[in-house]
Amino acid sequence: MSTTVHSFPANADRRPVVAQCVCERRSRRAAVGVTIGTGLLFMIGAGTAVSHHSPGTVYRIEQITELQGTVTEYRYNNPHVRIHIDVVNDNGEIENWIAEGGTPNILRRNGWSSETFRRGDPIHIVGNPPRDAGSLFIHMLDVTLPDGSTLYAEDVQLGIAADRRRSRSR
Amino acid sequence: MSVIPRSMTPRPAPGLIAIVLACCAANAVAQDRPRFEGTWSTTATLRDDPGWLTEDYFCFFGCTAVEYEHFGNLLDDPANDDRPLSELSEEAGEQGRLAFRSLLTPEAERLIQPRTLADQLEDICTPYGYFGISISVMPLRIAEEEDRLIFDYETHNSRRIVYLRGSAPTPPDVPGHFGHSVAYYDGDTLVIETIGVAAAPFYVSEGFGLKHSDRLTGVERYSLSDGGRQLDMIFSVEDPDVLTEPWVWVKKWRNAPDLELLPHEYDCSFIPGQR
Repeated sequence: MSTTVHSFPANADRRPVVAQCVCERRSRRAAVGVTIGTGLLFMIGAGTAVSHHSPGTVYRIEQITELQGTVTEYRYNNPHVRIHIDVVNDNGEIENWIAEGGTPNILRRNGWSSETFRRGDPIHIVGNPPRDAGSLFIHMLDVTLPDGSTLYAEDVQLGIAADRRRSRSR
Repeated sequence: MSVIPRSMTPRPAPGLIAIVLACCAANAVAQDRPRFEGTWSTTATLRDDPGWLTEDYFCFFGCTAVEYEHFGNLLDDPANDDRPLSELSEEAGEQGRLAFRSLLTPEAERLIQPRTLADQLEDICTPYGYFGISISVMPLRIAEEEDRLIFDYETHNSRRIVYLRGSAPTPPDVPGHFGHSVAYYDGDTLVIETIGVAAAPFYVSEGFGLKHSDRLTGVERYSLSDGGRQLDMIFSVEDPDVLTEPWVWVKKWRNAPDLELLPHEYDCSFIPGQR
């Protein structure tokens, strides 16, 4: 059995960089859709290139959408959490969206529990829209609770990576 | 003054002395070598550890050695300071994918295809095999016993038994889920060699949906750094049916003594993006 041995790269310090984003908002009545350019892509997706079920297959990870709605169902199960929410669309109709997040085994260690959401809770979700524009799914990145606190909803908070990058100096 | 004549003083045989010395020496080596015991975490379950590098947040599932090194080089280059991390990650990932493609046998090259939603649905509740579990995201707990190491992975509540060389039973006749693993110490490095793995998907997008054959062999090389706070793995797999050269991955864990492994059960009715 032969082995090719590679060394880990040196832990060189890096100069600070501020990630930039270009945002273009389109309004909805109670739901807010936001399309963001490439700047915030670091948040999710690109970093999960090796995931066994990449969100990029189902969601447009290069775009960001926001939803404001009311919880109708909360499923706290592996492999991914789901929050069903009623959202009022531009025509005043109620749409029942499903927001998918990370895995409970990881989210539990970051403030989530099976009791985090209850039916009727007003919440605000930031995430990626579906590739199928007609489907009512969103890949959750952040969710704001009724008390105003925000929970990160994916397995790895890639924003920390950006912060680390900024804090480095060569 | 001794009353026991010198001729009657018990004297160990020279052979026994040699055995005792050898045992003491072996024991000293065992005590001196690094201990890999403990609970180890990726960025997913230990987000704020100061030991993580930027690329570790993108490589929480492990990265190919090519991708990891290329990502680091991009970050080190001031010319990339204004480029978003996602772009650098994509570029590094593409380098990794190209490198992987260059390793494939002609037969495997003909079988590659983009990962589809159907592929992912099939994967969703299939427990990881040897390859997937070795780079899995959830915490890992290692216990060392006299003749073996026990690797408990939170992912799918999985347990691998790794026998120390000299204590390993005869390999099974039939390939298995995690294969047959035998370990030895190469200086401060724990080396685990694995054979007898049943054919299974690589479970990563770099694998393009490919399955490895049951002729896959793997070598994990674990070492400690940062005063024992970091576990580094270089993971190399070979498969004459799929790869022309070893495919090498790297992965890092940080020590997480307060992290408990949780039960990991799946709701197999889950379908991404489907009601």
